[in-house]
Amino acid sequence: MGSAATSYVWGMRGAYAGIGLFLLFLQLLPLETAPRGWVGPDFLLALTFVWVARRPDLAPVTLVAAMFLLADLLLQRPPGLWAALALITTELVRIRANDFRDMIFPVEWAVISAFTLGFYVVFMVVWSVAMTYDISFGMLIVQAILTILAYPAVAAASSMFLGVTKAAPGQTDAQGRKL
Amino acid sequence: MAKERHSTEEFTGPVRRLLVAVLALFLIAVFILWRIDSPRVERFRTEVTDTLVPNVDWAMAPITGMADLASDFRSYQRIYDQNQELKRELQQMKAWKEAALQLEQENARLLDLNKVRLDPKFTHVTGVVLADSGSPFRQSVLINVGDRDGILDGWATMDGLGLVGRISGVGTKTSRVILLTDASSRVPVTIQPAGVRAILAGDNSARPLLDLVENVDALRPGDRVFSSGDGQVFPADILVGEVVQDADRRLRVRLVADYERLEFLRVIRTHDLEAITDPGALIAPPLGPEITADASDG
Repeated sequence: MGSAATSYVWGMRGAYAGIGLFLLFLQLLPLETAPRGWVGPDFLLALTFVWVARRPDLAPVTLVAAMFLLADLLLQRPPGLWAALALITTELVRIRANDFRDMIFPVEWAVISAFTLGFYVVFMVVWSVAMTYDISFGMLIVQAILTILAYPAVAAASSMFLGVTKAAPGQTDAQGRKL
Repeated sequence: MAKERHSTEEFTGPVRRLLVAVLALFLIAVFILWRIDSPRVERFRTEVTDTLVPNVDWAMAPITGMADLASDFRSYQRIYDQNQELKRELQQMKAWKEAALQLEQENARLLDLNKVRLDPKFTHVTGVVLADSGSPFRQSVLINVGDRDGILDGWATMDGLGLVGRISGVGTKTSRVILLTDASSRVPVTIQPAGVRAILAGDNSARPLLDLVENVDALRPGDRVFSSGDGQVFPADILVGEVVQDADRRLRVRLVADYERLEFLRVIRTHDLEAITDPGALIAPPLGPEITADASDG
């Protein structure tokens, strides 16, 4: 049973990386080269929140850090800032993973929303202090709200297609320890 | 209680906490390094992009193709209107063609009289757009020509119609074009017929702003904007667009290049450009005794 569970965990970690890379790929497609006045949600952030809140063992911290640093590099963001904030926020979620298991969904969503807003607020503060190039904070706020709204959809899709749900009582991990 | 689960220990154990701290510090250090020495980190970014993006080109091309096909198909729906419009335009074009032919002949005669030889250095390399910036906050595209094709930083890029942007970041197989619409794009321009000089400053909107205009009164909406060779940072006389006035009465430029669909881009080879090697310093008057002497004279 041990090896099957291990391969499951590694398979799901691979799935997390694969979905992340696919999201990057979609964003890089040169479909719209004119400046567009709208933003979409940050699906990578929503996905990471879902996985870290529900099954923290499937999205390990090193993988999350690598994923976001790669996103920073490919998406022309200042490298490191977004990734560092994502790492810290998801770690704050991760150490509360056990509390999340006892929450009903609306409460879980509210807590994640607070973390998402915190993420964007800190990002904007650091951005203003670091004085790099100008970006529209209005668009960032819209993106924060859309990311929050995307959370239930990403959570539903993760649990339906990939079975990423909160560990059931008595479920064990690869080493046979209780999750 | 439930808080005593094994996994809690696993997620808060001292080794793990150290790992998280090291990772977070590393990422923050990368950001600070970028802030201090951005050219070097940007070069690293270029290398990462250069290694990764061309590998998925095979997957990107069909999806982009399908999207183009869909938008082409949508345009069939108003094909009759387009046909009428094209006929009208063709009528006008015939008149223009006649005028152009006469002007060309006249121009050739004048050039011959003056023994002018046009600059042979202006040749171009054509590249295909591989990817865009992927973020709504930056406006740039990645093209599939790079160092091995002799591309250099700072060269101008145009589509068939007009200026599109400037090369910034050259990898072996790819290079990045910062579009004129990017918030960090600044290009010196000349506005004809008045010959007014200005800076074309992108602000993440479809129509970049005209900044530091020498003489605002001499400009009228509809004037044509060309790139200027001021400061040797950009090749001169490439058509950029025409002046328009926005709702706040600020002067902006409607770009002639077709930004909706950038596909093939021409990189204009220009040598003898001023090389930009450092992040830049403050521009200040030289300090020295002669300054104080001048001041006391005056």
